[in-house]
Amino acid sequence: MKEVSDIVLFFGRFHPLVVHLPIGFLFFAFILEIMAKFQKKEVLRAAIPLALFFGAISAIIACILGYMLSLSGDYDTDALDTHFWFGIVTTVIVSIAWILKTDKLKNKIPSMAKMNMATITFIVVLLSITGHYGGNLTHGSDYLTTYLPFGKKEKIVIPKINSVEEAQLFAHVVNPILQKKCASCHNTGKKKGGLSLEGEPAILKGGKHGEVIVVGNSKQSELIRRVHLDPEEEEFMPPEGKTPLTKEQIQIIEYWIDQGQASFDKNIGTIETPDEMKTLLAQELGIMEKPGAGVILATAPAIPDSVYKELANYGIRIRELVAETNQLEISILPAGKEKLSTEKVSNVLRQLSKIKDNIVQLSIPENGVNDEHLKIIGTFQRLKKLGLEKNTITDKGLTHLVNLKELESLNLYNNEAITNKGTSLLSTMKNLKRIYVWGTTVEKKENDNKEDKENSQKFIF
Amino acid sequence: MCDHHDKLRSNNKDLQQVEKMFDRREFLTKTSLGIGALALGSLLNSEKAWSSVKNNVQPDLAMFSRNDLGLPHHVPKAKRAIYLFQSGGPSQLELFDYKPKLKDLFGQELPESVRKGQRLTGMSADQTTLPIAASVIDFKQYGESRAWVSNAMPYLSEVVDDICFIKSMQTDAINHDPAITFFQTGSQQPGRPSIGSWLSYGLGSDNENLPTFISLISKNGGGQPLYSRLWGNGFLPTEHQGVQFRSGKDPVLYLTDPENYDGNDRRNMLDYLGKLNEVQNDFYGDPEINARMSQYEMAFRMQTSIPEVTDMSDEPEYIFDMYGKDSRDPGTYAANCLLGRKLLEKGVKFVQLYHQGWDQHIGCPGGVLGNAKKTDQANAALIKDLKQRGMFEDTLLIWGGEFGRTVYSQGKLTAKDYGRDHHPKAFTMFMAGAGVKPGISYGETDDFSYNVVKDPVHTHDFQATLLHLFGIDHERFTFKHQGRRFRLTDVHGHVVKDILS
Repeated sequence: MKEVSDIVLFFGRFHPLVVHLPIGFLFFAFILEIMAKFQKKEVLRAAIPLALFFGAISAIIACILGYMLSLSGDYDTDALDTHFWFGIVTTVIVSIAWILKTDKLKNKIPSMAKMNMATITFIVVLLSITGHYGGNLTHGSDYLTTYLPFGKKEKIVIPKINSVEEAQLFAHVVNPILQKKCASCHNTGKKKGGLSLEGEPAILKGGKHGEVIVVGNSKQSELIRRVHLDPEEEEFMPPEGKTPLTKEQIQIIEYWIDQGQASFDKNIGTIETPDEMKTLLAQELGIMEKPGAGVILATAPAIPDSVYKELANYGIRIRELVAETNQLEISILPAGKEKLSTEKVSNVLRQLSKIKDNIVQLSIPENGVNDEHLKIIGTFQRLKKLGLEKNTITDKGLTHLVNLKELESLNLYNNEAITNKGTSLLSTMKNLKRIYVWGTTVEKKENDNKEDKENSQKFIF
Repeated sequence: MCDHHDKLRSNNKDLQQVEKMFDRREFLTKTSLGIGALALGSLLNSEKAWSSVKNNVQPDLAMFSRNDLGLPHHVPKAKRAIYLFQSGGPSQLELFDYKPKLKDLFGQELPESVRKGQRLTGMSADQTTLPIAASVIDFKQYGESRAWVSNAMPYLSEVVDDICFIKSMQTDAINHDPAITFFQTGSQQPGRPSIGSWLSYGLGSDNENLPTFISLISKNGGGQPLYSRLWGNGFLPTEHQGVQFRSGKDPVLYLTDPENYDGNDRRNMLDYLGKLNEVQNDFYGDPEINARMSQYEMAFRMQTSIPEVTDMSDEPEYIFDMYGKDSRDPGTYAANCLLGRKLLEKGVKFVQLYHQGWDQHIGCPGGVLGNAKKTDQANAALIKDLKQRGMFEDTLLIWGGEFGRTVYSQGKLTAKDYGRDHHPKAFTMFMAGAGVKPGISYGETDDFSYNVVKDPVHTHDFQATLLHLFGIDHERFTFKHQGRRFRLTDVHGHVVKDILS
């Protein structure tokens, strides 16, 4: 593309400012026309040619400036063409309208072609269309409709992933960063510096200064150079006023260019990845328990009101582990000296089993929970933490818990009847990390066998 | 008479025409209403538009309450906490921060290159000399983590592998009052809510029959005074202030019915009182009326819950033995630790315990040993006790004072005795339990325990970390008061990620 002189671009950038003048003048002409017609204020009609005149003049200036701006090559040609031609047509028609309306030329024009309400309405429509296309060029074609009420929000669905290895480096990690931080100026519609970062071909093509990514060499890549600059510098990206990339995000993009060979379809599992990078990736993907940043839970199915009401009748406290996730933490403390009756506990548990997929933590201390109750609790597959201290559970009851695959912590203290026989059943539970057995009949065993040793470390006496 | 409130309506047609026109005032009123309505409309789809500031402690709905504040923000590691506040400023040099090189520097002047013009308190600023005093109490390494603990804390040395020592604490204040207020409320000036109040406000209660936030002061401490603002609610609704228990046999007075009154009609009395207060509330809308009503109800429920939770008779002998013989004497530090454990077990969210007496301006070694003797066994017992009950994994335990003490001696330095002045720039705290890495020491001080040389942890960082463990992002947890949104950490604080497990 040939170089455009700076002065042309300087004036060109006044286009977005100047375009508002014809819009204002012509709308005002329209308003005058309506007032004159419907409120019978004929005197207003005299001002219409003036408004049209300035509308036409400013439209012509806007066209010229707009052309100058278009030379920068920052815009998508298809969208630009539409705006361009609509702009010119509008300007021409406005000029004709003024000619028809002005007193000076009135006599020379056949009376058939009188400027009327329809013409000026047509001008306003044209103006709106032109303006709309212009707006799309600057702000992106979905700018107007993104927050449209009742509108369908279409989102690109990326398949959900559970581990770093199975994630696609570009689609899951790099692309969302680019979309969030860069794509507002570098997209198919608005190509600042001739660069679009939407999709593989556009990214590889680069901008008007050439390629932005050198495969396998992030140091040579223009994209990386720009984000590393001092924010004060002219060439720093994203420009002033936009949110810069974080240090971690830059590292990830560098890793994508270097180790990932800027591939657009590789899974992270197939790329050699140091552990620190895995941590970063997991954080960016939001799938890892990262120290420092809190763990967010997925949202569980909604809980029917009837279950709430029923549980409220029993005085059961329900609480969300994380707000608005429907993942519940339920704690049934003994009320005063009164324990719940065996039957009542069964009823409560039966209610809870209706929402068993929502229960992550359950605590029923000192409430006479027995082996029968464990049968129900044993079906709460999502449980991570279970508190059953000070109850009357025996070894037999523990068999029901073996299927709780996600269980990490089990509190059994002061269930005196539990012995080693019962707890040995629990050794098959892979995720179970802590079993509290103080005040039970479970005894500490000295083991030399490595596996047994590991197993016995789970027990807290 | 340009009063716009009474509208004139004329019979004259021309005047009626004028009356129909908008005047400026009407225009402004109507348009602002219109814009307001538009704004409200955009809020309609979010339920939050209608909810009050907070209703998660409404007794009727309490069984399930969606937290209006959107808390917790993330999965909490801690469900409850006990903060063992060592008021006065315990000496890190005599307890945890082992500085063997100081022995050789005994009596030498503290180098200016270390002090760097750090301000001193009025108590030692006019001393002609600042002689270095090494600890006369010996240190040893313990546990698999090889943590240094002095001989003053023999019981704690047994549980070092469960503890995370933070040796690089820093604070802004140098005197007791501002420093302790700073630690507990995030501001040196009084008036902000305390940590426990924030938690009560944000997370609500786990047991309606007991206060969410309780403070206990040990009677065998003595020293610098404490003030109720340290557990105060500041500008948060009044029901979130900490309830202070008396340090004695009856932690809460007047719970038993007076003579010749059976208490049977108390429920009725409270119901009528509630109705009267409701009338007042409808009329004035003062939030204090609500607070008063909820506190009357709480007191009513506490009549049964408190005697039960403070009843020590169901504790077996060996528990008392573990906490030490003080634990049988209600109101002592050890007894308060045990009571604190019982409260946590019953669903109290935040127990704030204070032990005064760590202000060793003179007789530092003796003072430290004396206070350690009163507290050490109970500290260790509390950790063990929480552990065996399975509570340690979701209970946060915090030990620490408002600042540390100077390496130089305040007053006369002898081979056996010395005093130490307040020192805000480096001191040691420890945390243990929920979500905290066990068996580590975080941060380092220089050879004089005077400046932090690695991983400083500021008071605000500690507060941010504490909230983080409760599932709260300290930057997003705010309360709007007098036109400004306030946070516990004000505009500061970083979560200390390296100590999180």
